[in-house]
Amino acid sequence: MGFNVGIDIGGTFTDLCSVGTDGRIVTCKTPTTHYDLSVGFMRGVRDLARRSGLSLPRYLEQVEALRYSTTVGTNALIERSGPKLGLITTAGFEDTIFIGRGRSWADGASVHEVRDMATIEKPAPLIDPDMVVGVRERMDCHGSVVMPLTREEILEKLQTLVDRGAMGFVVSLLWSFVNPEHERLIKQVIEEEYPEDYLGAMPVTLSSEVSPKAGEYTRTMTAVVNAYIHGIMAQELSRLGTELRAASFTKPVILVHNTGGTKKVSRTRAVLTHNAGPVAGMHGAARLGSLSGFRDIVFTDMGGTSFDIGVVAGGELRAQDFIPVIDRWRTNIPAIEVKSIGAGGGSIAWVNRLMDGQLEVGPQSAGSMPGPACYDQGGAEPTVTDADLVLGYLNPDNYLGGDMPLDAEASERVIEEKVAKPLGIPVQEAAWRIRRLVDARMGQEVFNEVALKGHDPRTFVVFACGGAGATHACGFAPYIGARTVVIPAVSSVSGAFGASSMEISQVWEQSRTIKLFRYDRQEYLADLGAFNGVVETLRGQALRDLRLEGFGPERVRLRLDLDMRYGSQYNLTKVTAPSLHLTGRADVEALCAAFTGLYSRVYSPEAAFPAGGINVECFYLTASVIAEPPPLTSAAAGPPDPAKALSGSRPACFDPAEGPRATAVYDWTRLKPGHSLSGPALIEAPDTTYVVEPGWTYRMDELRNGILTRTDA
Amino acid sequence: MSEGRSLFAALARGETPPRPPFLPLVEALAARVAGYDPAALEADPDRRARAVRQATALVGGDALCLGFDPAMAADEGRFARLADTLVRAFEPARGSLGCVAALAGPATLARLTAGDAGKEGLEAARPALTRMTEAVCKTRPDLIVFLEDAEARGVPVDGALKRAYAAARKVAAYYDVATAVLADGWEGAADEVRRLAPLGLDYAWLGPGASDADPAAVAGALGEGNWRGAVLPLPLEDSGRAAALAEITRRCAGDALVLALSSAGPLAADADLERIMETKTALGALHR
Repeated sequence: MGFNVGIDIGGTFTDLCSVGTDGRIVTCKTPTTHYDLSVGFMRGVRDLARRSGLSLPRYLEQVEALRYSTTVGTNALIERSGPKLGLITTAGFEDTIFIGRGRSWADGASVHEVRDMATIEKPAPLIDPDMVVGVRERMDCHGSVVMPLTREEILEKLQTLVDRGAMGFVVSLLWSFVNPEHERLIKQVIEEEYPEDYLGAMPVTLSSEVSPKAGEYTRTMTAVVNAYIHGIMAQELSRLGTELRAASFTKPVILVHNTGGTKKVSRTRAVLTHNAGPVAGMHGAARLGSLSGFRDIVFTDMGGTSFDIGVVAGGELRAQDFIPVIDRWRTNIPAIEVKSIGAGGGSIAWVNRLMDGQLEVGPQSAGSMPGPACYDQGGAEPTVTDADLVLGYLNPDNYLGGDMPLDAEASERVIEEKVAKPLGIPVQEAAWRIRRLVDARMGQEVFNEVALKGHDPRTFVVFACGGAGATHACGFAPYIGARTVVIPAVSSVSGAFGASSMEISQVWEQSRTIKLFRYDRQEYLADLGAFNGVVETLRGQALRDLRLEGFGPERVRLRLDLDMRYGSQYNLTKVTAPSLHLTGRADVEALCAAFTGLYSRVYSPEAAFPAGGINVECFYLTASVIAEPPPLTSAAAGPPDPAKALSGSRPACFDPAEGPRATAVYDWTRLKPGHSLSGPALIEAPDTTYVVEPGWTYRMDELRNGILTRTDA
Repeated sequence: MSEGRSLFAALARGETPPRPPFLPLVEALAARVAGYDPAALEADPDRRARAVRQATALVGGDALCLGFDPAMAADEGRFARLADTLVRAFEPARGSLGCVAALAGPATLARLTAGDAGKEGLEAARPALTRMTEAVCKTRPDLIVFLEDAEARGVPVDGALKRAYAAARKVAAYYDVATAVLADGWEGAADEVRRLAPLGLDYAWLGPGASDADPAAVAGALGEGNWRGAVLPLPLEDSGRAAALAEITRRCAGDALVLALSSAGPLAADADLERIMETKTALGALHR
């Protein structure tokens, strides 16, 4: 028996999922220990072993792969605990990262912060202005040297940074993605001056290696962020690896990437780990959706701290964020797009006195410590979880399977003190408003994310994941007109489940402008060498890299995506190329047709204008190791009567005007595929509680997923 | 890894260490070692931390034990200095020794701060208890001990007290810190062990009076509850009584409880160090 383990660290809980080679799934949730992430990590692993009926060493010996989506890097950025870096750039462009782009001041800021224009400021830079030096050099857009770079110039500027205390270097020169020669020369000089066996040896990060793409601001910031979090991540992950080895796990830990793949820790760039958890969740949703015939999915994950949204269209994770923001920094990594807002079970409800006493929920969160007031860990602010408890949805004696008893009186007290009294309303009404408000915020964001990508939200199925997803699904789904909500059996640990089956994969990218169709001559590209040359370069890098992972070319699947646009346009559209190489005019035409077809679907056929010229601007080669995930166990659907799963009833409020009403409570572990019930009802699972509101029905499918269907008009 | 730390590492892995760790209460002795008045030493966290490390090494302890005066929690200034001392003491010693911190339990804290250890007093003391527990746990001790003095023995172990301990337990669990309760001056060790079992703490730290108790009764009481283990007092200057404790230890070991040994109350400043070392060495041979 072997196990594939996924571990996802969230803002409030660390989720773990173990999928056996026989398809059996074991899960657990444990509070995230922000003071030392490895404590919660190891606690969770011990718990997985115990639930699998094995000792820790015995369990770990049978783990075939351990995939981990970590927040170590993100935390280092937020806490500003990275090293003092020096930046070497082209002379005259030293202020690029401080000027940023036109709206840098708003990047990564919350809606509240952006609205407060009188006080919002750009964040303090990751590199101090006095730690940036410009070297006299210049390449042109074709990669030809206009001004050569001399060793003396490098040494002089290097010494300046060393004297000012640099603990690492980032090198980002103009047009280095076309010709990296000068960047490599700088690295060579640094390594000659400070070899690895010297105490003064310092890491050097080249933008041409981390992000060989156009756009000096985003390319530089990608390299800066990577360098900033690299050392801390290496240290933390090395310590974790040591702890795991001491516990008999000797295989390499695999990290989940925000590009949708996984790689060994030792072969991962730090910047690719940011926000990987929700991407893993999307992957899991896509996989479960494919098993159930759902191809258009809006993935949602309501955890303790945040609400994440991702779109799976046509069964694929296709939407890639053009220039994603990491913390407050605009980068250009090819990440899968996930939208996050501060709305979770731990989101704090508060009365905004500056807005005439308006009730607000979030973005602040009570986190895992102190957590909601009902956790009885010193929390003094009312949260969404407190509201759910007061409304009767949660069982205080059976939260997290009884491992965390809740104090309902504490919830009532804080809601009364902080919300009900200031608003002059009863506690039940206050709890109801808190819930409705957070549901509305989430629903609105889901609608925006789906609609703004050009999809009709009403045609999508909502996958409600996260510890609080099942509790709020009926609340936010109506905002997008969805009539079907799927709550996977592993919904509360969706990120960990998704991670457990993700492939070894990496995206290799390169900016290069290739005019496939020239508007001035109205003819297709004839010389295919430049296009194929880029593809071959990326292919060679990918195969070499995966060989070092232990996989030969016969196990590698390649997919080529291209950023393309009509001539003179600004925005790019990502297209999957019908073939890896262009062998003749037919291939060029097919590629152009693929672009025009996608463009027409997204923007309407009237907007397409091939006569304006068609350009490729960036190449993305995704190299994945072909692997079949372990099958999931299923059971044939039986009769619909769930009577044997009924465990009692308790008062729950679905309309404050009516007050609490006796509501049937079911034990999820006793429900079987085929069982069906109508709302209002509560279903208590080990890691979450399903709230089936009036006007909805619940059915358990063959994979034990919950299918919620809206029956009212 | 040093022996003291390796014993605690075994405990953290859920294993029984090869011998019971020795957790002496040496703060009064530390003042003598440092040549300071106890009050003056308490006011100097750095000196206090060093003095406790020295005194612990002097008596062959496996862990630094600090804060065993419930009155410290009732005084903001004293508590702040204690928290500072814990950081200074634990950080440099963590690689070689276990780290044990003590704090007034909720019943004692309620009485000291609100004059009332009833339901209302306990509810009022809960926020302060939670805050102080978190402050102590942030210094990353291996064990946090809640001290309930003799006056607290009349407090019923019911809803209010259980809720208070549950809150403290949750905070300690978040920081991965084991918990213990020391009921000092309470009579009838076996009865008290049974009475305190519903609080759900990991270890019962028996007061000096336990050395007079019937060993079989105490062992039985420990086995009935969900205790992970016990800390037994060792009257280091009285080898006869120490042997009686050894008997308890032997009987308890049959129930697979984890056991540790402590001094029977704080070692006096004028303790006979030679007799202490002789008794400890002799007992150490019994448990190998």
